[in-house]
Amino acid sequence: MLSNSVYIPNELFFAEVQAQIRQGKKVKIRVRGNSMLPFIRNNDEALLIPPTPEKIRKGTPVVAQTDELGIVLHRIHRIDGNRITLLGDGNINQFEHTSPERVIAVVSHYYRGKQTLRTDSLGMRIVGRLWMAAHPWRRKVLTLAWKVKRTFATLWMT
Amino acid sequence: MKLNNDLVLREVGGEYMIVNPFSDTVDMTQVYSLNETAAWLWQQMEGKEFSVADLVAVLREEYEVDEETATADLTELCQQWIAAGLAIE
Repeated sequence: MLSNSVYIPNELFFAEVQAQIRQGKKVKIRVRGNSMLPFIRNNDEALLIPPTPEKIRKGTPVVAQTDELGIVLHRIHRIDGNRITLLGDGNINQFEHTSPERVIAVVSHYYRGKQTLRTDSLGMRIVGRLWMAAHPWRRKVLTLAWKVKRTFATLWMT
Repeated sequence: MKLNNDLVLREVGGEYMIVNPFSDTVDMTQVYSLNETAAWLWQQMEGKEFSVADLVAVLREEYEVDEETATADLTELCQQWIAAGLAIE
């Protein structure tokens, strides 16, 4: 008779999120999936805030209803008038499209264990923009980062 | 026992979900869904002190179910609600 969040349909869950956000509240959710790697991992938490027009800008991670994939938490890749293009940080070519009125919330913080990251801090905005600029080479950047990390880990062990 | 006053039942498109909407930051990292029967029982018990026997009585008024089965199912339901913080002993 009782089930946990695993069984709650996405549409129902985000209908409630949207209802709370429209009342001006902040909502903390658990993120599912890895499409926002390397910044957000599966099971990290995100704090959502109301999507005021000044916050809907290039580089901002948002939760939005999209034409292609239903509701996603992805970063704003570009804005052309009323048309907003989203791209997951871990995706290369899978763009989604939405509009300002279908943006449910803006992501203001990420939480991973005891670590908290503010998405609109100068550092996170710079890193986010660099990651967006690296978009066509993301896979190569990630592979290189993984190799460097592995090399340092090996040197550390020896 | 009684239902946790900080929680409310939401219904959207025939699905039921329990949320805590009373704080400035709503924590939805852990939310619960109820099936239709559990949601109906929740509505019957809102604002009341109740026992498993009370739940069995209202369930049997509405549904054809023997007392033994209802008691077993609703004892388990109450244990789940208490463990999840949805109800308080």
